[in-house]
Amino acid sequence: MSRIGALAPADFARRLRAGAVLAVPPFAVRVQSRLGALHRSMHGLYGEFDLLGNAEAPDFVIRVDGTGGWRRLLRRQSMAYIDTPPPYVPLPERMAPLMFEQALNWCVATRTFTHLILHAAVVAREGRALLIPGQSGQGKSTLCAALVTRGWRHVSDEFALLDPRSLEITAHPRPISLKNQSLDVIAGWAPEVQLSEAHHGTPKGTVGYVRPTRAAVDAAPAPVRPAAILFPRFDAEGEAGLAPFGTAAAFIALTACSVNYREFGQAGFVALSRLVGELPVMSATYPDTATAVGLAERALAGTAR
Amino acid sequence: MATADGSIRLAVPGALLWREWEDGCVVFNRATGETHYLDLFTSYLLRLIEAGVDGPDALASTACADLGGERTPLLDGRIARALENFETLALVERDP
Amino acid sequence: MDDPLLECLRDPARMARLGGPAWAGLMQRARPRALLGKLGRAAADTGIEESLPPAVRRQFASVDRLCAYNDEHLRAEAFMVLHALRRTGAPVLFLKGTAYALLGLEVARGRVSSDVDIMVPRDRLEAVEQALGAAGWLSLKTDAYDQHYYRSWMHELPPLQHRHRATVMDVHHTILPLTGRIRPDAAALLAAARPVAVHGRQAFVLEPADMVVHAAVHLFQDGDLAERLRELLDIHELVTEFAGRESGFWDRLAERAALHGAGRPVWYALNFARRLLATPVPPGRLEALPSRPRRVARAAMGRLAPVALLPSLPDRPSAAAAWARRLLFLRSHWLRMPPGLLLRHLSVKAWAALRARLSSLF
Repeated sequence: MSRIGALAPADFARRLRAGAVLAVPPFAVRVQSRLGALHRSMHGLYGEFDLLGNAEAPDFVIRVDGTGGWRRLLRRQSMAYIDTPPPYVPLPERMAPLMFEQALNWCVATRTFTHLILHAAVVAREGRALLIPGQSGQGKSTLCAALVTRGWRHVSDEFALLDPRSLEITAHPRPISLKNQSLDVIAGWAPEVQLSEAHHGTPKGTVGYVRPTRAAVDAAPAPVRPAAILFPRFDAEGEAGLAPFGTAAAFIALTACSVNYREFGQAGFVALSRLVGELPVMSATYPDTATAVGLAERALAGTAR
Repeated sequence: MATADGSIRLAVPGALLWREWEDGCVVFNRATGETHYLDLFTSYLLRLIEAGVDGPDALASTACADLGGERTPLLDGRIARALENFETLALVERDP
Repeated sequence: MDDPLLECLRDPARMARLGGPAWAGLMQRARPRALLGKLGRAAADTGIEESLPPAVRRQFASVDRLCAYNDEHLRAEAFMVLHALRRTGAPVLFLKGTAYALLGLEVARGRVSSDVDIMVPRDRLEAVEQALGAAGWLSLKTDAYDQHYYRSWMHELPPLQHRHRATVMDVHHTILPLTGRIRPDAAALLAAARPVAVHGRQAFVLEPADMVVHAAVHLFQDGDLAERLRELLDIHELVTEFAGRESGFWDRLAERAALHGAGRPVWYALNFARRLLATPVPPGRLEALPSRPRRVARAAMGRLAPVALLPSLPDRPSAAAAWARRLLFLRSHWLRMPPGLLLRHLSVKAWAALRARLSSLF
């Protein structure tokens, strides 16, 4: 077992070409690729993650390579291959890192039924976690990145893996995906943050990633208990502040951002109703990052017993 | 009332799991695996049916007695619509 | 035939000795064929779960939840169908996966398939279709040709999908297309059906021998044969369970296969199940089947079918398997339609597919 960042880039590239198993807690992912763009990007973004021995059995197998056939003659593209026909379209070869993130998200979201999965960022302070639900584009990743650079623990940035019985969240820290203006916002907010190269011209505009820190990866085996739920709302004009959120409304919002609520049947219903019934639920309206971070701190502090 | 007072009961007795909060109510139907969101009046009606209040007439008069107020065509219309929805969602069944 | 998936299904204890790369390959083979749940159940039943790698245990735990949900889901959908049809008075018979789940059969454990199949008497079809439509079941095939094709030639209505729940349902009035050579006796299927309760409502399922006949004709007659290992496993599990608990099962199977003119598909199904999955078929039972295939046909199918049933790795589809599958697809269509129709059906499909591809090429 070795930390990816400690390997020479050429050595890591050689291993990815042959196929290597990465620990992306709580999963083991076998990655294989001939694409230099992916080798370079993963060496940076996954630098603090461990490379497991090749004898390790993986949860998921993802191969990212060029597309075959005559289309290759027109332009060089990358595609992720898993065991079923992939549900997405090829991207330019230089966007191989996005292709990988997309494929891994798809595997996690459609194949994990050990946990109730919510589209949510999770950050924690002193063992108490804030659950920030939201579909992509609603500001949860930006808020997550902003809090993480102020000393909060980066538990999850895209999916909260909730145990329906204990209501604990299993950490799944990944490179935090930022889009368009959010990249400049975070670069200005925390100049020391390690950002990946920016991918221009993707179907969602410009996309870049925040590299997970060693602290985030090392803490990943420890689950957290959510202490509050915060629905983020960026609004340049609106009145900034925290507002209470209805319990039934929160229940509905959580079912809507869960990818596998149905599959849990009654257990999912009981888990989510306990979550919204037991925890304070608020919405935060903010015009800028500093305000958002202040509101998140107040939301968590207000719940301290 | 002109409406025939057909019998109404839960489609599957004991199948409903309730969670009620100030801003609304959700119910899980064990027979269908579906979760429904109900506003307060609609959930009150379904609760009455669950408690054995049988038929649109009985529902209307119980509602008037519980909540106060006159029985109006508006109320009857709301009850009729709710019953139709309940039946489509396989929450209740009615004799024709 | 040393396919690791087949070997692990036949001898689950093997899984305790697999290394990481072998697991990666095995799961990649099993998952798209909906067989991961079967491997997980087999590992649990064999008591080797503890010795499996953590990633494998996680994936087995996930697929186990999915299978449990699938069971609940099929029962729920069956209930909704009965609710929707309660005023038609039509008896409703559930087929395949839905029936397995309602009966709690061994074959339902670890099985994922969310589609619902029902059968109703042909003279009630119109009332049933109307009641389902009113309850939100809409036709997936709105194209006039598709509608015509299904109504004139098939043993079922065009597939329906629920407006809100997205569940797909096939409504059958018999178990095989009307134009095929094998004509199962629909009235006999309904007459012998057994009752089953769904949340207090009465429904029906095929009696055990008919259930096996249906699985067998489906495996070798219906649509393309690709990735049908799971269906063969269905037959293996059905036969193993019924033979162990239904007295006179084997005689009854031969009798029902004869009644429905389905001796051949049942022969093939049992033959391959025995060869590939070691299904305990007592001596003499295969020979006792009516109208079993002639030796030449047997030899040809013997070469083709096993290759076609075995899933290949997604990355490297085997050319031999692809060819065998194509031949078998042709064979199953040829068996079920008059020659003129064959051409027409495929060509309309081909045009539709081409148009769809052109529309996204820019």
